[in-house]
Amino acid sequence: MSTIVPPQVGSVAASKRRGPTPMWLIRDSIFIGLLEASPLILAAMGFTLIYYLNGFINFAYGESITFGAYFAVLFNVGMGFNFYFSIVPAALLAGALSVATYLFVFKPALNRGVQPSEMIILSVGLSFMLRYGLVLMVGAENVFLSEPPIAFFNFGGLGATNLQLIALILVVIFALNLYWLIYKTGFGEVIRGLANNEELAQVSGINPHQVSVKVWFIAGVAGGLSGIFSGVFALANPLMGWNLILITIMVCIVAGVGSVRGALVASIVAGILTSFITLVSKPLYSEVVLLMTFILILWRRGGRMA
Amino acid sequence: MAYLIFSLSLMLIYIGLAQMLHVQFGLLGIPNFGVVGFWGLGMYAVGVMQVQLGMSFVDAMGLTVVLLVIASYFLGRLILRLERQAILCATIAFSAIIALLAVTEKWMTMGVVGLGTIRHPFRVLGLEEILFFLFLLALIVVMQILILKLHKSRLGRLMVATRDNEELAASLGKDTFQVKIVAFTLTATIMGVLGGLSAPLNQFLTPNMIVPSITFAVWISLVLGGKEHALGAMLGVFVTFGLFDILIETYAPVSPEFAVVVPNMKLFFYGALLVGVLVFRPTGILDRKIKPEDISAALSRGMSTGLAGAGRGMQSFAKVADEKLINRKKEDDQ
Amino acid sequence: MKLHMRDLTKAYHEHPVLNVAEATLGMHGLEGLIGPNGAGKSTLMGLLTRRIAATTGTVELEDGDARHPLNPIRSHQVANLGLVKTNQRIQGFESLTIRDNLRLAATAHANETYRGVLDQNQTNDAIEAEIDDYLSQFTFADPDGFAKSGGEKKLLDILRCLIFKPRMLLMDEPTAGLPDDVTAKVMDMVRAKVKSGEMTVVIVEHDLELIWNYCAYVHFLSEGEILFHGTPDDVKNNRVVAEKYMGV
Repeated sequence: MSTIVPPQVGSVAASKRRGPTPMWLIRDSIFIGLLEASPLILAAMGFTLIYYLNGFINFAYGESITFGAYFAVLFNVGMGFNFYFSIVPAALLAGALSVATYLFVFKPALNRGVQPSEMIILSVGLSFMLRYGLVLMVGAENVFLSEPPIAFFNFGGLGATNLQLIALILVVIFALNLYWLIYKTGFGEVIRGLANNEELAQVSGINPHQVSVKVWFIAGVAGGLSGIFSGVFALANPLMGWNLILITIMVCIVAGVGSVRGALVASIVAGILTSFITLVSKPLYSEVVLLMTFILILWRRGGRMA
Repeated sequence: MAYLIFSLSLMLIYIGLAQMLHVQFGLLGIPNFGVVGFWGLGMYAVGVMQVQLGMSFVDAMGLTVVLLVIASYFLGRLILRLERQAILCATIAFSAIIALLAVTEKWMTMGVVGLGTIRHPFRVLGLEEILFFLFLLALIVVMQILILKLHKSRLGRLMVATRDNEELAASLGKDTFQVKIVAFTLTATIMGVLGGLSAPLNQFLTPNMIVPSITFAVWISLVLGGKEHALGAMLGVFVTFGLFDILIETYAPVSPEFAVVVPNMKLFFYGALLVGVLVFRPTGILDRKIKPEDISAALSRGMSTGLAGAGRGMQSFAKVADEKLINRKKEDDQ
Repeated sequence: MKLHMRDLTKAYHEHPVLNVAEATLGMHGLEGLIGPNGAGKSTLMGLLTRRIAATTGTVELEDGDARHPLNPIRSHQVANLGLVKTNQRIQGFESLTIRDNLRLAATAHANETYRGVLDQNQTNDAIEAEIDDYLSQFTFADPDGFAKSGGEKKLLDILRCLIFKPRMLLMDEPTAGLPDDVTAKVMDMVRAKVKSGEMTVVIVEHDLELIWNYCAYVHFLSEGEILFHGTPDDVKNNRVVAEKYMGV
């Protein structure tokens, strides 16, 4: 179960060339971690938005990630669009899918008063339905994006490709925008108001339905972009979202669910930590360590999610 | 025939897992989303001890039980005080750890190459599979009887009270944490034992057997059948596994190219079923207020009039269920 | 049974809500605890049954010659020493019938074992008789079914505590949500149990008539401190109480 795509280019070779002295190790970890954390950062921010607003862990969010990548493949490979031009419609479609899951499944369930722990089970059910619906339509095989020509850049001995850098830049732009939206605008205040006291917010003239649709859309777009960038680094397959969602949930819970700021920081830390453990041991061990750390953090915190 | 016995044996394993999940989630409210982790741990432990250490099945199972008790008690201590969403995430993480270790610890598990061959414990020529099936059947029947008894017992009542309002139960002198940890250790260990019993069924173990879709299949069965009902687990597995894995995969006339699609279609339908059940009938098929006696009474009424009456039996069951529902509606209206 | 408090304080986010230097509850059988809203009455109740952890200070339960410090023990252990509290907010076990609620409270935890699952007979005649007795005195719409209205749930909460047979009972606003005749019945029953020496009782109440009618001794809590205590007549005539609470 590989959640964060293993380093492709330059980085591993670079660390082998020099040998793992502590200073290089830290620098390499940060560099590779930042490059590879971009899908995770996006997914964590989107996931956190939904959790913050509706108060349940949405496993089906993983399918926003998967479908984002597949939509990109559809435009890019299926319809022959330029790679960069496929990103936008694919992300928008992923957002629309997210809104659809909210309107047709989660909202009716929330209205019926389904408990949070059962909402999670519901989201797992929906996740399976979407995932295997996708498998039935396109098959379970890996698919590849047709990428623009790859160029290598060298930063003091550390390699990165143009795609990795573009992904990182787009993530930074998107993350900054989202951050600005949540913490600096009226819309962010509305979301916070709804999350804290829905009745009070309604009395003060906020339409919770409209706000929810917007939030699920933004979250879906973030998930779709996350999937597209995971796809850029390696490939797309129907399990990619499920694999990423587990780490995403862990990161968000450790960060204190509901804090977009916390999710941002924690996903960067998790990215760096993963690449650090990967550099000193096997990639799979980094996941074992992360998962164990996660259980211990939950235990230390006494189960308060935030 | 051999394949049918294999499928039926596997179905019994699923019923057992769903029964244990019923105790954990249905009675105690512990959302264990790491079912496949306990199952996989038991399966690999038995496999490794038999293949790598040359132990007999019984010895391997004994040592596996010790290992499972330690692992589930330790995990229980860490997570059972947490709120439900946190327990759910922690148990998923646990099962992911087990799946990863099955890949990484090649010196024990042979990694992705696979571990085998694990032989059936009953070494009677030609009858191994059927004897093993009968053994599993006896085990599941005993567990079902115990669960029916648990529902009527003082302990069962305390479990339900703990699920409903743990703090209130504690204020009445009940050591709710102890109730939870003992029950969790016991049921998670049995999940592992069912895993150990799956080892000779599968004979050859690979890490990709420890997949979340097993946890998911157990959950959908329980939620569909009725999570709070003593017979919900069994009914749910009949409807899901019995219908898809046995009836359709074994008997439906599907062309070979279509047969590849069936497992995916199954998971798609499981997902759709789960969504439908939770949105439209959250209690599952068997509401907790439908008593096991109602079912057995309805069934025996049907049986007594022979095969022709079976349909009528089901009708009377449906009627009993309807009456219950109408009564409950009336209650709600008041 | 008596409860001794010493230097008991509770603060939320460094904002103090309770500060009791020294006090003893349960010396006079049936006692009342009164005070304005926000005085810290419910916080004090929670601290005494270990549902809330104190910031500083100790609580001890005196039982004959024995003194049990409550600080190191958990909520269920407090109950098993004989100290139980009824709830201000409506609480209950939604999936249990009225009878099962009472059975749960009346059954000793030591009898709820795995071995007991196999017993043919899961009921205890003495307990069943007691439940029948309670249900003959208090009427529920469906005594063999579930508690429905808020009033029934509130009454069931009190009955659960009574059938537990505590040695000391704390009642947090028992009358809120109960019809007057039921309140009177409950309070008469409580008074009889106190008179027979079965238990001591502390009642937190806003309904002062009830306090004056039933309590032998009254504590006045204001702004987190016990400012005055004495017989109902003393308290009624106290200037501090009149100023701070009764708005005279």
